Amino acid sequence: MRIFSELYGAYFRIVSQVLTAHALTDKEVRDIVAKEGFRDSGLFLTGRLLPQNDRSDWGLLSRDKAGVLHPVTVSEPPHVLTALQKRWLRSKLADPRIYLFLDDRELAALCERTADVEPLYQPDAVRYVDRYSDGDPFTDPEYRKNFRAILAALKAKRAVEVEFVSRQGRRIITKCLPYKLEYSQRDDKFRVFCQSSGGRTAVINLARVERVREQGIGGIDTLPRDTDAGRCDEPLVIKVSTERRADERFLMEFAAYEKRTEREECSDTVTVRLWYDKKDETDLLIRLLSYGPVLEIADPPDIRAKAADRVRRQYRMLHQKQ
Amino acid sequence: MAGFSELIKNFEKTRDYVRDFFIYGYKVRNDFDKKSARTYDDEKRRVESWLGDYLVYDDSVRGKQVAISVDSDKIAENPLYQAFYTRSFTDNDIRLHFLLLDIMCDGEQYTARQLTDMLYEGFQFSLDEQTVRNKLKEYEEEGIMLSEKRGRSVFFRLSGDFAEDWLDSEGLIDAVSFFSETQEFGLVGNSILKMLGLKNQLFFMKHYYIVHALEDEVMLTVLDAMEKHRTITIKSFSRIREEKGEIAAVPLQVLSSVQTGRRFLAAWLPESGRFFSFRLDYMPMPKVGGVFEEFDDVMARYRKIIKRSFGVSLYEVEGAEPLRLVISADEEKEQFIVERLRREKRCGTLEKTGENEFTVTLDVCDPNEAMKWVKTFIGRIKRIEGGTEGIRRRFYSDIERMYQLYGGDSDEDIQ
Repeated sequence: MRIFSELYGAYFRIVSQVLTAHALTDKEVRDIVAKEGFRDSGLFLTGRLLPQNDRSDWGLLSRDKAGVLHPVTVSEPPHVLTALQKRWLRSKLADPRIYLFLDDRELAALCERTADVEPLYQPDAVRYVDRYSDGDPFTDPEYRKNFRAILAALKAKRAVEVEFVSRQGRRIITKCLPYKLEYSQRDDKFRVFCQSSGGRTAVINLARVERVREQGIGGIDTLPRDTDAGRCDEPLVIKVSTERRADERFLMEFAAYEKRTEREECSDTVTVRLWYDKKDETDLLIRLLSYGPVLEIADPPDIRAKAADRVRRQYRMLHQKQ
Repeated sequence: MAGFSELIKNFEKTRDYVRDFFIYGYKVRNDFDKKSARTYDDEKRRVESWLGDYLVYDDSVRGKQVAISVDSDKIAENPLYQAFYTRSFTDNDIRLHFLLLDIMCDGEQYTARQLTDMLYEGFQFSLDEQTVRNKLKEYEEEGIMLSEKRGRSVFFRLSGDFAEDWLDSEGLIDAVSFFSETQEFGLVGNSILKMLGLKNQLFFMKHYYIVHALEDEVMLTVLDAMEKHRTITIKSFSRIREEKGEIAAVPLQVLSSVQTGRRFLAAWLPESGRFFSFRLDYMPMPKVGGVFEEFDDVMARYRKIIKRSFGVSLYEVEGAEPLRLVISADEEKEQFIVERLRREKRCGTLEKTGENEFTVTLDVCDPNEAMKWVKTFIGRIKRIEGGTEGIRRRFYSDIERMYQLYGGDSDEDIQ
């Protein structure tokens, strides 16, 4: 049982798609390769698919007198699940998040179908050492109901009325159009991004939602959203030292961010330009400060000043300076 | 396919290159000195072919840098999965695959001999029977084929587990879409979606370490050995990745940090009689050995120590006391700090110890591991007690150095 197998490979997938058609032109074959393959796949794959005079092709397509291509096979290639794929699905039955997607009947059907399948891994095989302890209640019936209502609205591009309790404890009712569901691996929480009337974006923690009511189509103008709307105006410039392997630890921890890095000649410092969402600024700041003196926020000045202010407060606190 | 190919036979070498392009980004051609310049050029070209949209190039003083740049929050599909869809194969492999499926999708059972004949008669594809039998056995191991012995003959038939039948509800497709972007072998879910021409477009992940996918092959082997209580032999690598020999280990649990992105394998080392955490991203594919008879005893000891580990450290620091972190937070206006302490503390307790003062006490085997988290409260730490003297001294020294780094008491950094 392998993950790195040609059975899942792009070439096998492309050939399967080509053989699903009953008749194709050369251009259609090339288009499938271009769409489903890698950048250079056309160079390597097309010649193997299209019949060649020297028979160097794979012999899976034949050309009729009119020049149209036909699979030599009779049936469409079946999509048979491998043991790995079935075992993976079986493992997911032990994950509480499965309750968000399947109702009890569907869960029972999947349990029955996978009864003889060994799970790929046991739930306790992986321990998340620093996941926050107040994750969402995925198995709670109300949470499941609200999650599904929002997911359904997201898929149907339908507006909903959402009643939720804000972080400050205020009860809010808003009519909005969900456009993105986000799950945080660290927080173990879902958040829904919604567009409310006037094009404003609201981000609501699913666990804070108390009720979702369908609103039908319309009611909210679907204004084009600027996906970079929350992005910082200028990147953070950070200097990370090799001391305590901070450079390696930093680059791994912040791998999820868009960034550019540079190591200067004969220097023990890596300079990183890092782009972030403005709403994450405080979170980012405290994470950067946690590196201590082996990391310096060099720019922009306002973020550096915020870091300096916290450090100064800390220094005074420890040295009882007023 | 003579010369360069965008497909590869072995994932190990490619894994190193993809990771370095993604994690470091500042490396230039000369930094990849473990292999020849030609190897670098080939690997770079492949990565360009697979992940072209995500590659960025910068000219630095040291040379041209190639990096994979992704804002993980904004992608619905991990682009590094592409690297797994690149395994090479022979011309016979692909032809045999599709022709066998075509013959066998009638649901009938056939022997290798019958199939060899049918391949020739139906498609003029001439192969020896052993080649066909080997492929059938390989596919049986992969779960695509089933076999049944009747007398001296073995009959093969296609498995009836079709993806369309299994994923027969919208809910299940949504579930696969979601789990295809989660840590535990999301790649497998992605392969199911691709099989059906589907793509996750609904779920986006925050704090998402897409690079973990590159460890999935190693992790699969490790988890299998763990499940079967087997030992593994790991080629040990130092942090600068110089080969250091082999080491036998009994895998116990994967320890994953969702904040630092690092994943470790917690293991027992029978030779030295101690627990150890190996970085998974540095680990080459291990060899699986025999059953470790004392697995249950070692696991029981592990369960005790992991309860007192703040992260991945599995040894008791000599003379360490519980670490007490005393934090200042305004009870009325800064409840979010108290919430943070409650939510993020591990192996410890939180109590109110004074007016606007809260104390977290961490009873951990290695208090040093908690110090990075402690420093996220910089600006609010009234004092640190317990732990070890060395830890406390370093904390005070770090604050002093940071104070100097950010200009001391001068107003230089105040806007």
